[in-house]
Amino acid sequence: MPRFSSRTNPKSIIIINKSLVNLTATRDIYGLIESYTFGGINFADDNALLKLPDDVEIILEISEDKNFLRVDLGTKGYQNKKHEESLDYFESRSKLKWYLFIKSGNNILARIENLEPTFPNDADSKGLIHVEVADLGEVLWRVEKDPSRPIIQVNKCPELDMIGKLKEPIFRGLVIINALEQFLELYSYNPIPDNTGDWQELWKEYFYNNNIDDIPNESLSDEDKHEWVQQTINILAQKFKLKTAILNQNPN
Amino acid sequence: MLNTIHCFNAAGLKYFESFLKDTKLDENRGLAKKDLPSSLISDPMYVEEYSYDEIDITKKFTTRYELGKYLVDEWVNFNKKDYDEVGVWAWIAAVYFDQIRGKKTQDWYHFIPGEYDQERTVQSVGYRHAVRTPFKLIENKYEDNFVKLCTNRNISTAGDAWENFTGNQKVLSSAAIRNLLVEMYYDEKKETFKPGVFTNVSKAKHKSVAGKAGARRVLPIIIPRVKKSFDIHDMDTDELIEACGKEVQTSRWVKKPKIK
Repeated sequence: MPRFSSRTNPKSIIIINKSLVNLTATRDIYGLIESYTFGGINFADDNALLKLPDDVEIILEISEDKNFLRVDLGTKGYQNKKHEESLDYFESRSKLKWYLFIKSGNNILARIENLEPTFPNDADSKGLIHVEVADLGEVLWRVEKDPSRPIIQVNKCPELDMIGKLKEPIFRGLVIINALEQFLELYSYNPIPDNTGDWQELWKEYFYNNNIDDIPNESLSDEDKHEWVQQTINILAQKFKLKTAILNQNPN
Repeated sequence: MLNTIHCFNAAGLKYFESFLKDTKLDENRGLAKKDLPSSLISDPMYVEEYSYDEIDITKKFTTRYELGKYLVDEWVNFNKKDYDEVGVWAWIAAVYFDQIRGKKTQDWYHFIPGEYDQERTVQSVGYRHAVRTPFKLIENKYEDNFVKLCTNRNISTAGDAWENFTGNQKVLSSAAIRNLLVEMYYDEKKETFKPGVFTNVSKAKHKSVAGKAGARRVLPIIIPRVKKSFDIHDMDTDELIEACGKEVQTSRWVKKPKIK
């Protein structure tokens, strides 16, 4: 169902539901995004999209800091599907952003910002926390606090195998709660999703399913936001029992 | 004095890198700049022949744009693969080192392409190379005024336009954005960017016009906002200015329509 907002979307541009776009990606052995596959947009399941004429054009823009790639995906009537297109063009491939829009002339008629490909070979790709490897020099991990999609970046050095290490209780204990705190801080300042499927929606769903209070809608002071983050992080820490997991692993 | 184009070998690159880091360290301690040994660019221990094309190693340039233009004209057998040859770009930077060097010596990647040491350069800094970047812009036939906007400062300085535009693929891949930047920020008489283009907007002084519709507003804030409603890829400059809204349309950077 398209959502319109007169404040953020005065031209009533159709906001495309993420589930209608078939975009998948693969990773290389270092965990970096290697290629993407565009399987098409499902126009039939959305009345607003269905009404668009056949000759509207589909464009995908992939960007990463200062790098940018524009891909012509054909028209509604004849979609130009892509199969395992290489992303070598991008240098780090750890903070890619995907923007897909449908246009007629210069006017955008429908769009989805912060579109994220799914990773068929990646069981956790729909989780709350996204982890990407990145060239971090001597830094082991950090949170990239991008309001459009925060991610944990871990050092790409293959000898370190940071992705593998994050499965070990001691590393989870050292990294996850601190990273979550940074995610929640960002959330407390940006709780409203711009688009369907944005990271904030996943958190809202998680809070709802786990009986955790979401941040109140009214505008809060910085102190109140901080307090909400602290309360929530305590609840999550209790839930994850990361210390207990370490103790259970090393009973002595 | 004409000299065929050479390149540094591994030992030459290492020597040049050490020199750049040492002199910078000295300068940071308040000591005098070190002089680059003039023999470095011809010492067979450090350099190898690279091309039959010749350049005048004593030629003086006012700007990096001039330097880039000269090299594009002289290096007639240039091949796109040469962009990846770190040693040749470092050698050319060493040839004109005394001209390119600032009052304080710049970081090493202004002279040796950043990819030389990927382990220690977390962000891509290749675009900061003082010779390769203007050469690349000219050789790839970007609009002349855009190249001048970015590179036509004093040869010893890079400048804000270089820093903000030449490494930004969103700018380099969009003729619409480049034309907008030239239309708004390029001073045709001085052949470089206008003063005040890179001023930050004052958050404390809301009524101040400083920085309004400047490059620090247009590229990171206004253009992404426009792109939510318009595909700017094929827009001409007037259309893009109109799409950018009141802040840009009424700014000091946009020429007002002449009253007939």
